[in-house]
Amino acid sequence: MTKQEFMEILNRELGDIPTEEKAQFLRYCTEMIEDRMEEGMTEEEAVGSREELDSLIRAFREENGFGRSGIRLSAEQMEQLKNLKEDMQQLRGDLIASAEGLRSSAENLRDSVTVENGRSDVELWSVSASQIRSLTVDVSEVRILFHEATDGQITLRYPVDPERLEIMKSLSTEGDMSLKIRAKEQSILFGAIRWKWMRSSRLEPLEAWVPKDFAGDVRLSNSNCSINVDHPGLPGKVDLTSSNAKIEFASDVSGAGEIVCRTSNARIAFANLQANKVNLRTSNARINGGSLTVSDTAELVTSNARIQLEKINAPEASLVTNNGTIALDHGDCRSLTLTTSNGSIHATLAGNIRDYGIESRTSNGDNDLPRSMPGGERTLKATTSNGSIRVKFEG
Amino acid sequence: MDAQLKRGMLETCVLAALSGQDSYGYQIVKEVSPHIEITESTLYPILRRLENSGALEAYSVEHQGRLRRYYRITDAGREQIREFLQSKETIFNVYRYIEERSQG
Repeated sequence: MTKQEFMEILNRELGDIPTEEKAQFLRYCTEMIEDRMEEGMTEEEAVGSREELDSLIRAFREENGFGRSGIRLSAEQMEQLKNLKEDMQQLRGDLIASAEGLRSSAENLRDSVTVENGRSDVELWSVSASQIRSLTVDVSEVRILFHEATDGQITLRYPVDPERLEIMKSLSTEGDMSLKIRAKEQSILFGAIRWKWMRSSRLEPLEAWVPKDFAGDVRLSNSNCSINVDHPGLPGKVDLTSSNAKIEFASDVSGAGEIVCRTSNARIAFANLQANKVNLRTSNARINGGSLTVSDTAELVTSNARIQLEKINAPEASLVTNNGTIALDHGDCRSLTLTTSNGSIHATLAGNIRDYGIESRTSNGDNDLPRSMPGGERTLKATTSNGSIRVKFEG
Repeated sequence: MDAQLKRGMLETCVLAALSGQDSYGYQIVKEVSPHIEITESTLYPILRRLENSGALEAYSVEHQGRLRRYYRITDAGREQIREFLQSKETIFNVYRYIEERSQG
């Protein structure tokens, strides 16, 4: 056998081996033959017998896990192969199903989006509320207005500006409706300084309309722009998140499920809120409310500002701030915690003082309450420093 | 000889052949074959394994108008030899035990 023949056989027998792997092996074989010939062997001697070649091929295949061609698979290997095929079939089915789901979502999405007459800067997206499980709106630098819908639809009206805004809509087959709007960063070069900013002026607000009986969760969030709620309340959870801008309830809310509001450096204000559970949090700004009625818990937290409430009725409530006053005109709670520092606490509470188990503490201020008094069906904790505690009882 | 045992020995023999100086395939076979049975076809997978595990490195050198692949042992390869030698006493003890029990 000549070197040429040897190489041809090798090349053919390893036809199914990845190219780079095979090339490296052929280089090795060539080098061996040439080294042998350099030592004085004839070409035929250097190439060796066909048996040697076969053993070379076998060793290479076995070592690299390619198996020998023409070999029967064991029963165990057949079983593994069968399982693998079934898995592949299953995967293929899953992929087709999810592709169909995506296509139908995309079609729903396309059908539900319209353009308002004569407006190129806003778009309307409307879906029947019965198809929706949750609504998530996440926008930056855009005001949010939240209204009641009376047509059974969940509708979003939002600004469109391809140069300034990036819009992502999705509607999953499970009914999760989501809209995200990101402001694109604009920049301009002044000499060597690049000035970046995000233009938010004159953008239309995002408006969301949701029917009063929609039982799913609603999550609305933005940043640096206010959230205004003009909705009578939803039975599910409403989560409103902003930053550096106020959250305001423009109308009365009743029969609501859970209400969560979070912002910073701006106030939270409401007239009448009635819900199962309420959690209002801000910082460096007031929480200002009329009447708050809750069947579970109410938590109002801020800092460096006052909390002012006309009325609170809740099994369990806590009003927490610091460097600010807490003023409560009328409180009717089984458990009430009033905590501040460097500010006074003024409250008028339902019942007689004997109805309460009381713990109170201040420094550098008058205190109407006993420091510690056991008993009563209700509990009251009032804590401040550098401020007075003035609590009256109606009973 | 047991295949696993032989495999370990062959690998270490190849590393030992490279301890003194870098070498190439044909030279390694010539150097090692007087001590343990080795051919070009068995050497190739050993070199690949040792290269993949980082016990040796390969580089090409021009030789009489063609490229020849040289192998150089690494620190990891030297460590592998050290570990092999450390197991010598254990292996001898096992051999002695087998010998004694089988003769008794």
